[in-house]
Amino acid sequence: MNLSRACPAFSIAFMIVYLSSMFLHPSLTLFTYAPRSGDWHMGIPDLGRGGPGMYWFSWLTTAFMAGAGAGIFTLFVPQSIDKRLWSGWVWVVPVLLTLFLLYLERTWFGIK
Amino acid sequence: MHGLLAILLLGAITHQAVALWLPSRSADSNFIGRIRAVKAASYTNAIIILFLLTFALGAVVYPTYRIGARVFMENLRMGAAVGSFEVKEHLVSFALGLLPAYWFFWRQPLDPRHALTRKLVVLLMTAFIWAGFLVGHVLNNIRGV
Repeated sequence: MNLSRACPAFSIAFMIVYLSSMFLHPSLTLFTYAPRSGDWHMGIPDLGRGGPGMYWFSWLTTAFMAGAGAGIFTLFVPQSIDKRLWSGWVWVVPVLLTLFLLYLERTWFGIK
Repeated sequence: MHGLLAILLLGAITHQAVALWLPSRSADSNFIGRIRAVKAASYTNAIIILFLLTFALGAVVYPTYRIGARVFMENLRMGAAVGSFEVKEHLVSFALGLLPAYWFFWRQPLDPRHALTRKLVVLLMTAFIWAGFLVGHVLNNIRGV
């Protein structure tokens, strides 16, 4: 079994699920890191004066799990189908996600 | 250390991108010509290792930024600076996700069917890494962590 086949699928799923986790926050946020205390909490607790909470580590974890799942799934797809898929999705997806990200973050730069 | 590794990474990915997009068969005597003539594939493993190390150290200092530099910039209503870091955070996360595909398309022997994809993945990695470096550098000048 050629494990490297899983890499492009991992990458695409990772990036999509990462941005989804951020965009759909708090729906896909598994845990919170409290930088002031150095504690990890499941879900999104009310940290009160101990805040702010950081969710980035959770988004990365969710994305990694999705990427691993997609990669494992790919290993069960026949190689004949696998080879017919266009490799360009690996660059098209991050380009589209980056444009969407810039749209989401526009308000920081005074753009409505 | 995070910054120093980022500079090494920046040099490596820039060399690879230039050699891939503007190749030169002969090593000209000038500086640019020699950069264009480097063997792009030889940088791949170094870039992967440097990226992972830089990313890991960035994750270590991120909490310090979150409760220090970011709060400082928020108090000064520096929305563009805070937003720049938000964008950087997500772009380097995209780059982390893209890393396995980057490795896949650089496996030896290089598959000529994926030549365009390889070039575009390198271009994206270069853009993400440059964006991360520039934002990090400017914010560090505003308020170091």
